[in-house]
Amino acid sequence: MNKAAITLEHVSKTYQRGKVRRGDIRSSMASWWSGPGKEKEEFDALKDINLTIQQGDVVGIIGPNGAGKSTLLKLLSRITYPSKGRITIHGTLSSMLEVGTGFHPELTGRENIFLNGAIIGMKREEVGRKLDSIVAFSGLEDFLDTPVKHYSSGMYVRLAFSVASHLEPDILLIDEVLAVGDQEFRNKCMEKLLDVSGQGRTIIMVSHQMTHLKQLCNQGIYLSGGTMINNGPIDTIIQTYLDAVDQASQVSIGERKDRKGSGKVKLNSVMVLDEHEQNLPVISAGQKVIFRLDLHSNELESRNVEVKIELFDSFGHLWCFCKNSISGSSIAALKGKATIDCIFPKFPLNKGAYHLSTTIFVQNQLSDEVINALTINVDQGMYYETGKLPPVHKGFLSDYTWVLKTD
Amino acid sequence: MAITTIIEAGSPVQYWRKIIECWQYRDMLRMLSYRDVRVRYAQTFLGIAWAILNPIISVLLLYFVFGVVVKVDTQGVPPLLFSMAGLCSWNYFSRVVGEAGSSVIGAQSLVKKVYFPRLIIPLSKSISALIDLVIVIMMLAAMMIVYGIPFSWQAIMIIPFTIMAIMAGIAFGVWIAALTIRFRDFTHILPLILRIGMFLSPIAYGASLVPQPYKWAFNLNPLTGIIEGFRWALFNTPLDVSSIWISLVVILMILVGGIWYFLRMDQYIADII
Repeated sequence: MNKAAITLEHVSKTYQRGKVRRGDIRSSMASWWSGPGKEKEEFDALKDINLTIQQGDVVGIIGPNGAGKSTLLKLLSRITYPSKGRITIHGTLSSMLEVGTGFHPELTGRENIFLNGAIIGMKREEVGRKLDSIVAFSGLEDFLDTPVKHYSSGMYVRLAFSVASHLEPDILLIDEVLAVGDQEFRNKCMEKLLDVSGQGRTIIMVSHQMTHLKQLCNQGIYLSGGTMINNGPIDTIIQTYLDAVDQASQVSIGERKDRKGSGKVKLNSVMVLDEHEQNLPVISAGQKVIFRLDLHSNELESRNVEVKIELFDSFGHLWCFCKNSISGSSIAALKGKATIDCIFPKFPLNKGAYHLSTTIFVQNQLSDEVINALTINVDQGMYYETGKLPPVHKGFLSDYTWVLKTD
Repeated sequence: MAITTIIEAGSPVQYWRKIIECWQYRDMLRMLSYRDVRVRYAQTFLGIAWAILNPIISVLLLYFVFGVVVKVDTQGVPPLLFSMAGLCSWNYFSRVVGEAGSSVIGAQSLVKKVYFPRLIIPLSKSISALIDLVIVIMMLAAMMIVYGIPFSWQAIMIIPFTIMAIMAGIAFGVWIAALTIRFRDFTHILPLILRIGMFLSPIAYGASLVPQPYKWAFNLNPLTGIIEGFRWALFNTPLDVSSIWISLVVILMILVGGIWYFLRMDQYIADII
């Protein structure tokens, strides 16, 4: 008979938008003066979550950005407290930290092991006992007495993960930490994690990487907009999620509700076009690409409009940050409907799927932000005349030449 | 399963439990203090020499103003030593309060990612600053030897006064840390408070110089009792015992109040920081 590791009953978390609790004395006195009846803009990061996680389960939390995944982990790790409801946790719980949190660049590798261990809740003698094993796992024996500011980012990751993976809590929380590091070390980490879960520990992880989740988890939780859509076996949950993402992409952008901003100027649609202005379902690396944004202004005239397009990969890493005010094509005023093209003469990203987010500012104020407005797929192309491309996720594409000089 | 944690919205703050938790996290407290000391002097050119240079410059300045220019009555103690004895607890106090004030905001990357009793952040400042106190006390001892001032059994009494200084540092540090999280204005107010405190504490002058009508207010400054106590212990200057008791009571009240306020804020810290 399985025992519950974590139970959540009617858990909600409400944040107050704006600065209500924080801020300066003036606004605090002002709100005190005007009394508690003053309207506060609130939003629910999590709404009425009821959930039981069994001991020994490896649970993946999936959902779009802003679904409340990280909030859920924060609640479980007691970083923040629920606004409503009750959470019961059986056993010790620790979080695996984002790499580098709790490291100090001036301290040596060894000192950082102790510091990091202490921060994640290990006792000093426990770190001392496991020191050899931690060092061996990281493979950094020779750099132990070097300040970590001299470490490469890869070494950093190794050290951080090595400490974290020697933690032995009953419940382990992991938030997107596996997105970094080189492939070889990542595999080592995965093995270690599988090993940990084999010992009957409960693991709860957030990741955008479905392959990782499929490999590691047996259970899944699908969150969206702060509510739990579904939970159950990981394969079903991933399928439900992917289906929903497909459907969402068919909803026209103009009608989407998950947007932020004043709405003075809003995005109606985004189209991806080729050089002949034809629809482009899949981009070939290196071809001419036009992102056509249809905007409409809800004001008579909107001045100083800035439009930003960002492209993220599936890890959430930002690859492109394009803004008209940076490249020098400013929009002084905008009336009614308008179309703006963002033109890439040679599309510089490698094979893969990218999420496109758009943000519009009017007079430096956020007007409309649509996260994941569109998913674009990039395929092999003729960026270079050879038709070859660097390995995926090894940087962007750029024009360069090699010049050989010999005597 | 050994431990069961229940987190319930709106449940009252468990003050004792949180204080016990600080003890359970003492290894982290130790590492944070160690890190502060290491880092503070690691990056600078003169390194640990700053811990010595800093008080020397302050003492010389005080000596020049109060000993050479104003010629304050130092109750028979060489003016340099008089100021130095006054400065050691003040220096410690102002360092703790100054660093504790911004400490939680400075540690926000940790606060937003890991659970631990937040109280240990300002507490760690009271430990890391002890190194400065010890250095000044050692310099003071060396100066006393140079000046040929004999040590008596009374010198041992600096220990309880040091403990009082630590308590005062924690008391004010925790208050300021909590208030700074709540109101960022305190980053501007704090230097002002410390500057006022420096002049209103009997560092380079004796408390006996304060006119009688102001004395009660002056004694409310918890540093008054501590500084006067330090000088009594080392040079046997006259001591108003009642000022010690007043200091102690004031410190305890502020300490309990500060910890109470901080713990009450504790669960919101990650949300508002």
